Amino acid sequence: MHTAILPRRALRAERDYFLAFIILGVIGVLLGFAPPSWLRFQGQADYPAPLALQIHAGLFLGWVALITTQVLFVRQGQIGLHRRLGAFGAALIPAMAISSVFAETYSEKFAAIHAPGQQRFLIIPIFSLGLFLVFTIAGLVLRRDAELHRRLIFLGTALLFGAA
Amino acid sequence: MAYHGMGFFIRRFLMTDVLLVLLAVMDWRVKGRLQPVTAIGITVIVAAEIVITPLYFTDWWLGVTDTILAAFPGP
Repeated sequence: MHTAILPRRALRAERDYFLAFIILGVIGVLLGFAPPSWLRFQGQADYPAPLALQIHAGLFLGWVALITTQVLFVRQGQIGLHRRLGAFGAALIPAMAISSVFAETYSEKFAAIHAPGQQRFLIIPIFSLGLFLVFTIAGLVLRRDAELHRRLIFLGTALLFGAA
Repeated sequence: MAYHGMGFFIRRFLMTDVLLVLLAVMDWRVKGRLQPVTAIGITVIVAAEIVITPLYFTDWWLGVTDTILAAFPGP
């Protein structure tokens, strides 16, 4: 008798968890990036931000906005819009990867000049970006299985939120 | 360059790991058990964290980093 009700309740609970995931991630992004961004707008940044870094920041903020919008579309049952926006996300992923290569190598070269040895930090973006690509591309390929798709996209996104 | 310090290095993993715990809790609460894809994903990510943490401090990795960086433009 509960079989028709429980899956719906379970689905709603799952969507609540994904919303909590996004809220937690966005709070992390704000806590991590708002202070240095504020300093940059005040002209007090401790390192330069060439175009490659600005594009990189814009694309990754775009991913956060995209994933937030996608969660809200699914919660509202707007699956058609979710799929159409998902195609944009598929195009965003390679752009994010390319921008990361130039932004991270620039940052580590800058670090090597001002704090020799700290360029070893490059291992972190290689780890994050590599696994982000594995999980999100798998999530896109397996998009017809909604449960797999959701989990793979969120596994990838958890790696990006770690950058905050 | 405080963002390159050890504290940032640990915090970067911590944020990801907190979100992974949230995914695991979701599976247990909603599905009654950890789903295979979540289990595999968490295992892969945590295993990578465990491998790269000691690697980060080796001279070998510093040499690899310098070789990679030499191939790219920058300051």
